[in-house]
Amino acid sequence: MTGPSGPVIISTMDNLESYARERFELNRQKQTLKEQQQQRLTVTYNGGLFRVDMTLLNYLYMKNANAGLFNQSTKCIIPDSYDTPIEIDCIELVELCEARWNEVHNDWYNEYQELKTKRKAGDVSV
Amino acid sequence: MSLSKGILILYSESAQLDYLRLSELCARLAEKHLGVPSTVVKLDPVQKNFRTFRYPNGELEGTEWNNIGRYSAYDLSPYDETLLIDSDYIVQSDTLANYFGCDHDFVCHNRSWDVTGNDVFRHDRFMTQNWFEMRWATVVYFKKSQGAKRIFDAWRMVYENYAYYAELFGFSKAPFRNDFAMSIAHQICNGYVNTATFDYALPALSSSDSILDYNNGRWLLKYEYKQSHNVVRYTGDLHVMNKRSLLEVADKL
Repeated sequence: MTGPSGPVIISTMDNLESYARERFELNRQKQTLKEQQQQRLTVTYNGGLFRVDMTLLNYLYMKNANAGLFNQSTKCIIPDSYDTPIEIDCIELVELCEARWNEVHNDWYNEYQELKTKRKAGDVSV
Repeated sequence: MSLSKGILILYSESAQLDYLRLSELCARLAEKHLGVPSTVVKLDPVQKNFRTFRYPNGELEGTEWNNIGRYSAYDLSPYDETLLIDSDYIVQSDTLANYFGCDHDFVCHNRSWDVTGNDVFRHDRFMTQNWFEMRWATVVYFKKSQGAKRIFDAWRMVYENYAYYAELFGFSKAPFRNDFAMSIAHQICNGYVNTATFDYALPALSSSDSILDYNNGRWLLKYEYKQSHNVVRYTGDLHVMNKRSLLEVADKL
């Protein structure tokens, strides 16, 4: 079929399918990135295993702020990921958690920035 | 007194695959990333086991799969704290090192995660149709303690009476699956409570997917979805069920 400015390509299911086949699946890659980074978000402290998430970080920040403002103790007992009560020092644990959080999220961010520009499966390398 | 820590890898010879090479590769990488020594032990299979693998080209291969004997790991381990890992589990991070010194006697995975996003392990969440939760024997942390010994003894008991347990729980009695035997033992000894499992899913690549490339900790994996192929990049530990594909990139690891 020819149009005023040359041949017209009609999209058929065949070529749309083959396009989809070659297209890099960024959404799957995002999910894989998320899972691969999240498995690194565990720290050990005083015999307990803690998953570093925003809830834990917020709790530790709040405890440390209260210790500074109201002279409260930085020591307390919280359950770890396995519901075992563990005695912690909030200053020590927050340092550990922050370091792990930043390390993981920096890697996650850098990998995502690189991969988000990929459009074809053939563009992705290691 | 500090406890000795290490990695234990058990393997059996097979006519189709070089399991010794896989075990040595697995041991080298685990030592590098976890910073502890490893011990590789060859098991003489007490009974031959067979399993069919489906490879990416659709080829089916019935292979000798001599996995029996892992319940002996407690006696075979020279360490106070042990990470028992399969020879096709490639360690690429220090995540597992977190578990040394933890408060548990025996920890294993209760979920496996397909890194390609195909979610092929969704059917393995439960062992039976009545929702008996499955555990994975691919990576097990244990310490020399009464609690861990109880689980290993129960694991052996389930193996020795596998036909009975298959009938009782409602799964096929052949081939023997370590995952099933360990799941039953783990559940019995923990009062059927979902506890003492790793807090992340076991990252795995199914036998129908393959490794395209590997470089400096990064895997480039090819997967199949609705008869099309695509790639995904992944960084981290990986249970590679396509062992042929793993051996092809072994020199790069």
